[in-house]
Amino acid sequence: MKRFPARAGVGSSSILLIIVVLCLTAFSTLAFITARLDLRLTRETVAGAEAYYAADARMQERLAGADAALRSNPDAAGDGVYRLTESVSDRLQLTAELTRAGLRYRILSYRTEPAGGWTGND
Amino acid sequence: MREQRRFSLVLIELVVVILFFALSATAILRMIAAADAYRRKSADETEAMTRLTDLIECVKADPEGSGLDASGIRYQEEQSETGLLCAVRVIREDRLTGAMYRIEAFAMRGGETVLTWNAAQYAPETEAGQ
Repeated sequence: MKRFPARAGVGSSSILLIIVVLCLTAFSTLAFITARLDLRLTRETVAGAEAYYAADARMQERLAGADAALRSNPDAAGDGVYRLTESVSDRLQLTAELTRAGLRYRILSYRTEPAGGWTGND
Repeated sequence: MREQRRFSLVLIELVVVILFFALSATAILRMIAAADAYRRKSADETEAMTRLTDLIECVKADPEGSGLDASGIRYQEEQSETGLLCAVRVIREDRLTGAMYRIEAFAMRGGETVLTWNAAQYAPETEAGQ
């Protein structure tokens, strides 16, 4: 009966180790980068929502101020549509359109929109 | 004699390989642990943001809810299944033409604050129930 020589010689375990370590390093690096980018995206989203509520609070303050001004001097305001804006970020703004309804203002629209306006090719 | 020398070479290589693997596995495990910490933080903040937005919008729709106390303050909290505590404090300020409700909302997990937001809602007098 013929005996086969052992295949695993000197160096084979080193080659196997290099392959395993390279694979583990690649996967762990990908996991780390993905998790870090995910956290960054989450923080940007959270900052966006926080900026929106801050702008919304300022706008609510302006609405209260507008009603108070109208109450104290009813003859000063006309019957047109007034537009108030508050900046949310560099690219977004909060806009409210008001019209007079007796001794207070009625909100016609309340929305976020692009700060620099919108053009068809954007 | 030659076989013995070959055997000891393989043995030395195995020891070196195991040592190197242990060192690289430590570094790799630390990287995976850091990735897991980032993932948990991201999941926490996403959940906190979703729940706080929900809570704030509910309060803005009905600022007084079940009623304010004598000093014009309302406190409401809710705990999620994952252990995130979301709370909101509403403070009423009377104005000439209605009421301004200051809303302080925050999310906590295990005593550590995850998010804190401030919002406001103006209610003209007919809506504020004056």
